[in-house]
Amino acid sequence: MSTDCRHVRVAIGGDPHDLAPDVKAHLATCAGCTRFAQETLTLDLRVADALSLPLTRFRKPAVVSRRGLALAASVVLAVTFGAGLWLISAQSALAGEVVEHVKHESGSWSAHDVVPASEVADVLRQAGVKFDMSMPVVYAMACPFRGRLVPHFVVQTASGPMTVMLLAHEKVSKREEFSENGYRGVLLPAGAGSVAVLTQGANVPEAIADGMVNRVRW
Amino acid sequence: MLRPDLVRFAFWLARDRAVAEDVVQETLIRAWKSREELKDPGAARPWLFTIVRREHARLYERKRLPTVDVEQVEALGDPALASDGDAGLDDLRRAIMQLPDEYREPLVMQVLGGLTTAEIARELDLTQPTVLTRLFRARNRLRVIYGLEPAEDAE
Repeated sequence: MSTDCRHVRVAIGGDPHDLAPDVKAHLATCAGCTRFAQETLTLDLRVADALSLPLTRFRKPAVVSRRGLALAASVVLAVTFGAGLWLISAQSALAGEVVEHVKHESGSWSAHDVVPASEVADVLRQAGVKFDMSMPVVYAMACPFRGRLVPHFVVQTASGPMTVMLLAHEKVSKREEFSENGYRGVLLPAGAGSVAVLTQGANVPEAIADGMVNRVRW
Repeated sequence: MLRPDLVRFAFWLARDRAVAEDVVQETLIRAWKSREELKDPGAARPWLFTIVRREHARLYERKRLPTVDVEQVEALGDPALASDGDAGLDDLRRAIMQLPDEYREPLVMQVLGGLTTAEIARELDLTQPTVLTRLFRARNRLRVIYGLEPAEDAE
């Protein structure tokens, strides 16, 4: 194994979801490290499952003394920050988690090289999603998200790069626009799931977002 | 809702269910008192996770709680670690539980808390390369439990 491979594997093991351009460039030429990266992503999915202990194993807070104060604080915090739509709405929590995920993989926005169709197909296969991608994909990763593998793409459009996440297991009832941490986006219902489309600040053109929904099959 | 993940995060820090619940309650009180500090509601998640971590540290300083012995946790049969009927998941949980604090803490902050390596480095007062190395080593140990070949480490 070369020094490059060692360096790349340490980087992947450090954060498999946010790889530097030089690491990505190495992956394009090294099957061994690519396999290592895929194994690490799969492992991370299991680690996320392992960390998400069922809450039934924790007792519910009783409304007495300081514990009651905490519960009250929890409720008031929820209501207070509810103005920011982040704690009390399950659907908005989804938007927040999408933004957090995209923020966590900020390097994805700087990708320029078109990802081969075979790699895009591999990401879709891992997540069990069918998607007719008509735009050039410059970033493609099957990412752990809420305990599932989710296709995370960055596509080049006439309006600039856009992130697309295909959320097969996250049903939303209606279109929801959001703006957080410098990202703007929209969550769209798509059959039994949903599609998230984000930009780094610009509005997501409706036609592009709707086009994504029409191309996805779960 | 964020509270469930705060409880989980506190549990993986404290490795004790009751302590985790106390830490989260203190966290919510402190968050309420210092809510003015949160300028961006979108940043609530890492903000609250940071408070959990600080409250956890503060609790140990204040009460001088004994550190938890891993074997003791298992002997107590903490329901939080009860089997899901998935032997692989059970093994992984035990392995995470037995990671040294310096590896387990950044891993949980990253995977469960969603904090970036820069945020973890800032919170743990470490350099970003050090955080990345610790995360690599944490995952490298878990690779073995998961039946994968570990990567070479200069450790």
